[in-house]
Amino acid sequence: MSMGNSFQRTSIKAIPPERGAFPLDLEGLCKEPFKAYMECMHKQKGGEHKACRDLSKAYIQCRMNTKLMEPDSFENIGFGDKKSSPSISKADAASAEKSKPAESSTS
Amino acid sequence: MLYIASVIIGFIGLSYAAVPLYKIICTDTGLDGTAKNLSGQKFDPATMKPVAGSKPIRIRFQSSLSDSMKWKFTPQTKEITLVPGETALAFYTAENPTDEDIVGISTYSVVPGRAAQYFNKIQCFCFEEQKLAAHEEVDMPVFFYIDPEFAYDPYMKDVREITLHYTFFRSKYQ
Repeated sequence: MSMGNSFQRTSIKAIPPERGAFPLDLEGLCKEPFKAYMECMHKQKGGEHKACRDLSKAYIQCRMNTKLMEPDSFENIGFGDKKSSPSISKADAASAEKSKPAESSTS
Repeated sequence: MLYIASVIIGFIGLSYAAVPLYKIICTDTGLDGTAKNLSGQKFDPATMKPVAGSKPIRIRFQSSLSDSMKWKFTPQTKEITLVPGETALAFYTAENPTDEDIVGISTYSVVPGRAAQYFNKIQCFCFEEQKLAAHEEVDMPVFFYIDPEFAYDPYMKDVREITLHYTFFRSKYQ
């Protein structure tokens, strides 16, 4: 499997999900965040999901709260760079903070 | 004589070593279109950042059932547009309209096949048996992202659309 791969274009092996399977939400504990997210998604054209990202975060938070998902920090699942307000991202705020101590050290 | 023998053995050894050596050189430099291992680990949180400047890809979601499977199974999110490295949440809904409990198990396929290696599912509902009691309905999420390596693979340049297709089969009888 590993030796011949560099000469093959397609790999047919199925990759299992990183964190396994989601337990089924049979009691509908996270039904409300799900509905809110889906309403937002239905309004979007062409599958644009950026506007609904906070709602998907809320759904995942609900899953973590109801033990339907292993709790983890949001940075580890790709939500680290976004704050709830889209105006200032964490990266911009961090770089702004970085430049300040640099100026004070040179003076 | 010994010298010739050692040269022969040396070359045989080199030819055996060539395969992993080529693999290391090609994956490190991305030579000839081999997928690079930028950060090493596939699900490294560092890879779950949108690749700046990459072209958006449309992910379509489809569903089907095997003949003996009496569930209703449809995608809620029919399509999602995103860039490599961006995580997204998609949903399917499954319903058991019958009077008996049914256990199902799903498989999935990714089209085009050459993009399948970049479709990283963080968590989903596949590979494990799922039981729906009579008249039960449930939402099934798929939390995924396209590996940022996708943006650097020249063989993926023409791939603008990826389709994820889930099929539910009936599992064992109870």
